[in-house]
Amino acid sequence: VSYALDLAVDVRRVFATLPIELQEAVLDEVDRITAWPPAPDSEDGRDSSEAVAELAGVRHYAFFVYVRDTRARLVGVESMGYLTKEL
Amino acid sequence: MTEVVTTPPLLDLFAPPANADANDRAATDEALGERAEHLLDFALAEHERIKALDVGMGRIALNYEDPRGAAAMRRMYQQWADQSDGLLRRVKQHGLHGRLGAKFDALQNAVGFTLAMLSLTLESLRSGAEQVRRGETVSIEEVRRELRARSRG
Repeated sequence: VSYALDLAVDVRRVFATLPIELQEAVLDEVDRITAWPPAPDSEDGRDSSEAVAELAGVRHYAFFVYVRDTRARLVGVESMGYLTKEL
Repeated sequence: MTEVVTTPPLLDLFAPPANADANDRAATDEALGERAEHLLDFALAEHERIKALDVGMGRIALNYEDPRGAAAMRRMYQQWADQSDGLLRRVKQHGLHGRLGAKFDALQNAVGFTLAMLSLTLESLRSGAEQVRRGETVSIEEVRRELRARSRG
């Protein structure tokens, strides 16, 4: 059974600033997580994931932290970091 | 007077001598490529070890409840990222990034993701966790709807 997914309001703000290609890569990754959330890295159900997109010689990286609530079947994305690096 | 001895970057050890002929240069390029590949392998393995340590301690780098532990783990990631970034630059300067393709790419991504992680402060991690706990969230469906509307507009 897949999970629902919510973004913290601050994450939504960061997400809105990402280039569309990276937004799509993030959405693909959250689809993968909600379909089958991996066993969390920490006891409190917290885990992290990442997405990357390449645009005009620049690589765009997103790193996000999420927590899963197994009872509510809900994944909550708590934080998102964004970084670019020239190739 | 104390003499300061500096160690040259490992990749420089393979720089061809000024009077090298074409054969010397080809052999040096080959050796340089092999050395660079070993260094990329080492940096990638080191990243895996640091990550395993972090995960083994419950992702301490992201644990805003343990600021001292998080700071120590983050310092380790930062030092690794700085050194690896330097290595990537040198590999590129020597024109080796093309032939080392996949490994160069993998290290570049590992550095990028690490720096993106380090861009999150402990305070922003705490604040995000509190927002999710308080239900100050938006659903992914709403975000997708907005995206679709923007791409149509």
